[in-house]
Amino acid sequence: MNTNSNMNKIVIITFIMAAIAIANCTTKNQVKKTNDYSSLANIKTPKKKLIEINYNLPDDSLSMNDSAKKEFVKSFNKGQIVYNLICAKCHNKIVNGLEVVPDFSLPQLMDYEIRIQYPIHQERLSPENLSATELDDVVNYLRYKKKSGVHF
Amino acid sequence: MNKNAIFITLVLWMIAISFSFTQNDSNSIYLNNYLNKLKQFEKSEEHLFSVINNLPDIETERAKAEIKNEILKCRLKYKGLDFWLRYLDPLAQKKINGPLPVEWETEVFEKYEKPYKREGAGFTLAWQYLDEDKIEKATLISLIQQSLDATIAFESDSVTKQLQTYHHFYLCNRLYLLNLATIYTSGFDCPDKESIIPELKAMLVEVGNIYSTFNQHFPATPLPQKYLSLYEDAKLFVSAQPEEDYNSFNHFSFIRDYVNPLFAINQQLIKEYKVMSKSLVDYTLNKQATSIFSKNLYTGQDSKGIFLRVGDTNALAKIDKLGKLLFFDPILSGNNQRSCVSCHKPSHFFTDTNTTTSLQLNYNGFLERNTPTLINAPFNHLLMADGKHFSLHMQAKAVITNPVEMGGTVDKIMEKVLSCDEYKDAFTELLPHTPTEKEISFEHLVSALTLYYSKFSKYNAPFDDAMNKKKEVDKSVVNGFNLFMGKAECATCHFAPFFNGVKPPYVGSEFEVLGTPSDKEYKELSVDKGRFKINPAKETLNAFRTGTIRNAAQTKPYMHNGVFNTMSEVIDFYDGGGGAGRGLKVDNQTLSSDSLHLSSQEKLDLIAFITSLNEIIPLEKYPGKVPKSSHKELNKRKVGGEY
Repeated sequence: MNTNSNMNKIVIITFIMAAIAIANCTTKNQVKKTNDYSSLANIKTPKKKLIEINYNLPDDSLSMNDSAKKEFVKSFNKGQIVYNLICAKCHNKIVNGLEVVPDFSLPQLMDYEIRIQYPIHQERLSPENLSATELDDVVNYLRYKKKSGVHF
Repeated sequence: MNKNAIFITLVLWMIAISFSFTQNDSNSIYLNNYLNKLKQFEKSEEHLFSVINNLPDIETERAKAEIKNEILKCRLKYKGLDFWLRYLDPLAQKKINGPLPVEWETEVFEKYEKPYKREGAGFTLAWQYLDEDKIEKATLISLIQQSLDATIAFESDSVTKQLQTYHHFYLCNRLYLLNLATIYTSGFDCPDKESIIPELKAMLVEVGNIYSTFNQHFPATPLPQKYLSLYEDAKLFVSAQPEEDYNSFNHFSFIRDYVNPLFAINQQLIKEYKVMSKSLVDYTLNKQATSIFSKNLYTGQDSKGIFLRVGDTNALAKIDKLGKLLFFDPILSGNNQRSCVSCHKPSHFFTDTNTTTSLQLNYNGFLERNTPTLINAPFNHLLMADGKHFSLHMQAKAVITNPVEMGGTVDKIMEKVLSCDEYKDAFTELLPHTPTEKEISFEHLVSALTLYYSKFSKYNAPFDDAMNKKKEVDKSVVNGFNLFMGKAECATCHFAPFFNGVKPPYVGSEFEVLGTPSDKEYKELSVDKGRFKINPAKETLNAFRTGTIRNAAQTKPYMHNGVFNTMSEVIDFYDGGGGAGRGLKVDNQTLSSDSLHLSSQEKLDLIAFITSLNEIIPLEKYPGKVPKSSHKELNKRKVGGEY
């Protein structure tokens, strides 16, 4: 039974390796994922660049009053700062030499569950490192930022 | 080239899929154990079902006894699965053996949303239903049907998938051990006391069996011999306890000598085997804790607020110093005469033991509720007697800006605080630590306050030292704890280690309706509607959040309205069955209205136990002076305020 399952593992691993190799041949090497942290030391933190409007208002924004809009923008801006602080290092991508914040799909932006979905998140997005309101802000930011066209 | 690649991928896929089918046919011994137990449990539920269906009249005493007997058999089977089910899907588990007919959700992830209702089902509720005056077959069947449906849900792939790796096991085990120290021995979800010990015995045996199949299937990450032999000792200890007399169970030794040391080993293994959690159940539990009776067992509240990510000790010391100054500074109040310390006095364990309820601002009468102590407030899930606030920061802001408490307004306070150079310079210096904020905000002030006062919650009590085998405690403390967990029924609402309403896995707050009177003569029920004000519902009327009994001996008066002035008055209140037991009309009381029949010696022992929960906290001194303001009239204010 054990040798059987070992055989299975070997077959599956071979399959995965082959699939990866094939995938690498077929996809165009256009988008490069930045896993090399050393090159990220010079990421510009957009400390004072928040004046430009870089968000889409939520679909129901017509029913938002001015103070709700203000709150939204505040949360969005905070989310952007926190994203740059905590998330950008692993998630930003380099496209044609430019650093881009990718577009996340709605299921990827699942709020609380983001904290436990991946081992690295359990460490980095622990409640000691990212508060509940900050997490909301980040989700707001990623959800309503102008699309970059680069998928995560 | 591309076509070839697609073809090869397809072939490989088919090979992989065919192999995955063969694997499903030969489940591991561990997974089979789970599935078999589940099947057997379903069978006994189906049997219970048919027994009820076949009885012509379920209202006869004989029929009720027969149904109860079948329920007991089902629950015994269930106990062999509880280890997994409670962890793998807590919501479905509540449908099988949940303790409450209706629960209003207040879990971590939901506390920011409007509370919503969840209806319970299962054996405990069916048992209680059988004791009611008028019973209907359809209702009883529905309670059992829901339980069966929930059981079947545990066969789904999303659940069994988790059993394919070792990770879930150590997390299930952690929750199991925490529950052994809190709910399994107190009758929390077992209304018939005679069944508590037999069910506990059965559970210990069944889990021992889970352990051995786990070790067979996951030999690389096993439970070590040290753990297994201690677990065997625990089983022997329990089997030596008298089965017929539940009240003589030695909870103290069981937890101190077995459960807590097992928990310590399990925590060690979680670290050693790099156990990863994918469940929200583990949200607050801390991997570093080595004892159930340690202050780092779980994170209830974040005390650092806007300074969350500050790790630099110098910066933290500066924030702490600022927090202290603000805590004693009446500048935060509307009339510059009251400070936090007006009601939360360091020499009174950060409450005010002299008054039933505190004075309102400008001496306009008194507040509605008794001042709660700030000690251990960070270990709450929701704050205040009605659970109005989600976070320490929300709570602090509310008190400062409440017109009858401190009566400040945010703009005014910011203006006044920043008129003091000492505050302005220090907070400006800290600004780089809070990159989301461009300028000093009210949030900075409040975060400094909560960071400051939360540090007084880190100290231990003699009872903790006893549980951690560092010190001995008096026999009366041990007796008192055993009564607390058993005969006096305190532990069905006050859960270790904080003995508040936050029970494992420490992600929600419980509320209870006790029927607290407005006066000691029990003339009428307190007019305070409690939780109803926040979440109006039949169940929440007059319900209050269960507070901690740590430091209770130092934090009189008691109850939300401070109606009782001594611990013996409180114990008499419970012994007499709360408000309903004294003839007050409390239709939704969650406390039994029967007497507990406690003797005077038993009451003294309970007080000895509660007193052993007094934490050894160094006395905080008042600061010499408050920072100087550029507004001359503000410099007349006094350290700590005037009243």
